[in-house]
Amino acid sequence: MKVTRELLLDDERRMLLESVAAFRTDVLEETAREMDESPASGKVEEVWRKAGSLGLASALVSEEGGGQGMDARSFCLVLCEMARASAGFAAFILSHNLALWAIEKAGRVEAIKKLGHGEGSAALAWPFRELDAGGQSAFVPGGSTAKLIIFVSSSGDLFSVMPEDASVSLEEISYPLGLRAARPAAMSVKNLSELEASGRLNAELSDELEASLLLGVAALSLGLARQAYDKAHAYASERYQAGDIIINHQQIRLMLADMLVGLEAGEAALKQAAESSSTGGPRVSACRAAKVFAADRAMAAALDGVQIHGGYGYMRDYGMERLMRDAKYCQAYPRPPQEETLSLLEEME
Amino acid sequence: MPQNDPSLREVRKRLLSDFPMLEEMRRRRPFYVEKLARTVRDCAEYNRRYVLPVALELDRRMEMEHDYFAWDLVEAGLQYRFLSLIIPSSVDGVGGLCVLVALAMEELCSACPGVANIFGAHALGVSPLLVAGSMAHWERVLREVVEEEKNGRPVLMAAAVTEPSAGTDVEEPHFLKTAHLSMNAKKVPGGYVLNGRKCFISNGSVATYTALCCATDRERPLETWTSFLIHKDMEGFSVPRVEEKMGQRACPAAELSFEDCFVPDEYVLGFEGDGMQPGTLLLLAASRAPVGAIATGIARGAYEWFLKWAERPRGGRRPIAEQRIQMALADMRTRIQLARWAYLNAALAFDNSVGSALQGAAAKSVKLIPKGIRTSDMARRFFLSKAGKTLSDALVAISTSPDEASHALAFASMAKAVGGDTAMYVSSLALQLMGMDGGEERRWVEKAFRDAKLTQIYEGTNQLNRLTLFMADIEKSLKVELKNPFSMKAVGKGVG
Repeated sequence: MKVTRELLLDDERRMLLESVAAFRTDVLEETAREMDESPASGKVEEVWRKAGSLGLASALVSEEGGGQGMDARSFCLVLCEMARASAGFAAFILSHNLALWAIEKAGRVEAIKKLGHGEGSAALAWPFRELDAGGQSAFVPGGSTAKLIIFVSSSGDLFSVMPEDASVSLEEISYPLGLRAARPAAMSVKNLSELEASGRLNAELSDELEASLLLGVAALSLGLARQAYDKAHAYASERYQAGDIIINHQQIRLMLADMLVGLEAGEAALKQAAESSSTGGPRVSACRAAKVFAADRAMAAALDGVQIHGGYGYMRDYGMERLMRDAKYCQAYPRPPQEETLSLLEEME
Repeated sequence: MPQNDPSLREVRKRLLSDFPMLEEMRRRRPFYVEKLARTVRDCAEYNRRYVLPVALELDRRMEMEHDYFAWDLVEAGLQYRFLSLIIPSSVDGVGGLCVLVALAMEELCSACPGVANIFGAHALGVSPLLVAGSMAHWERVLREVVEEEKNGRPVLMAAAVTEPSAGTDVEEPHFLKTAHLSMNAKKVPGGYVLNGRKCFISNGSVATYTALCCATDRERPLETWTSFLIHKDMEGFSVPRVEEKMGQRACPAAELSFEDCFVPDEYVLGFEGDGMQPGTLLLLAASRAPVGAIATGIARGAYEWFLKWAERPRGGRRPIAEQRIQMALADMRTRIQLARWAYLNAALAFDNSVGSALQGAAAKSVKLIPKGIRTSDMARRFFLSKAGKTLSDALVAISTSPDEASHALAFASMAKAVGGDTAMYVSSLALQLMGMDGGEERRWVEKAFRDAKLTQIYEGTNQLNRLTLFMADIEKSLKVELKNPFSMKAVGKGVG
């Protein structure tokens, strides 16, 4: 991803955000529940095609390559906006776009032409854990529908594989706790050496890819936390209990205030990470810190959001419980927070 | 999953080591502690034989088919007498109280809180009959539950308190005064006519009998809050909706609707206006410790699956080898044990005060009357009469002071809130340490995470439980007079 330098949103970004906001209210909010409850119903693919027509299937592909050429901050704004309605679908978008970005970097332009318009999708398998001759990736957003999957081996080699490759097997995760609209799959590769000739791409993108993924998940988390706050605030402003609307009770106000602290600080951390620069891309340690912080706060916001809704928060029709389930996966994907923080320390030492 | 049924010896040993106070109690009341151990063993056996093999599948099925009800699992519980755990021995029930139900709940919930809550909500439905029901209700309704249980036919009960616009407000006397209520009972010759809705009622769609509280005058709800017993076949009663929940799915939460539903006088539990005090407050004092136990059981289940995961090698390493996993386990174990002691102490506080009165004086006095007379029409008329009800109330009051009841409620609220928070903490932490790893353990912990959240919400949100604790325990010891509107003192009668 390109580094963002502007401090304020320019007109172009504002327009982009407006169109994504319209997509959220008109399409995503209408379909989010169905995509969560019946992810295999075909709805995700239908919404994906609509997203493609808005250019969201080639968000990170360069303008020369026929894409939108979005920088890190713009892409985060898009993800954040979409995650308010469906963090799962936003994860699908994230996975696809990072895969396409990597493919373009590796010079495989022909693959982008097909996938950059919402016809078929790609996915990023991260992290990839090597085992014996092959390896596996436990949770690949978009893995169930992907025509092409990108992963990085432990030696830093970038691989591009197809689900029909004999050495690759993808198993749809049929009943995940959260991020269901991402159509996740578990991927395993029997033998890496079989992929050497066909799949290995000539590019060193490991750090940049990881940084971008972390940044993206931070954006998902913040969108989700924003939604939890907005919904809880609206509900608390209407729900009457104990002699007053509940937003006037200090216990409730404190929960909402804590959510704001997370949102404000999280957005600052995200912006800082998106603008940080080391070798041209976002700095991985800044992204790591932003991701861990944003996801933890999103988890807390979703839990408190459900709590403020009381019994209604626990019922599926209110959409709050989905935030809680999705937040848990934002927290643990791509790696659990403790593993990220330990890596961060190593990077700093 | 355990390979064999647990032996009584193993369970007794575990129980006594988890609860040193039970070891102490065993010296004085060996038969009582033995009864507790037997019940917990039954729960563990029921889990192993019937629940663990199907719980994940059932949870998944009920996501798609939310109004399905696993009657087969309820029927499998009849042999263990799970429906008569708190029914007094005078009507041939097991005669357990809060401690027994709490221990049973922890054990059952370590496997599946959804299934467990069918029995938990049933016990909650039985409780109003213990608190306010007359001997005639015991003889008819509770005996029916016991007899049918023996015959292999489950008669389930439920308790209905929550209304669409009043959750917290109907669990706390002071708030009830200003609650926005939708249910109303109007006095008519020979009974009452009920109109309105109750919501989120556990077992509401499957219960034969539902104990329900509502106002007879919505302008004066606190003074007119009254308990009724509803039979599922009463005209005007219907179940328009079963909720789609995030977790605890095996136990349905239903909306109950009343349209000119006539309830005869003899289905009134206690007196008109007694519904909140002592009614609902005693009910909450009785039920919050077991809800703390439900939560503790969920936490324990999540902990056990997480431990299994941590021991299994992945990528050549076992997670348990890492210090951070070991310390997380130590932290989880600590919190679970603290939550466990909290609910057992609260349950003991209840059983020693209010509980002994419920099953003690009243129940014993009934036992002295020969069954033939007890069940006669004449006795039924007496027990349903004002004099009869007054006698029952007096027998309960003799050995219960308002202070004791208020203390029991404070402890119960403490146990409930700490339990719910523990369940959420343990399941959430376990999941975040497991990362995105697949596998069976993960599915169980994910289920626990979804199940756990409800324990911070039902039986009074944790926010309300803290408020109750403050009012029932802390506030009275203050040297300054608070002018906050939630003071217990502002509410006419004390608890109990």
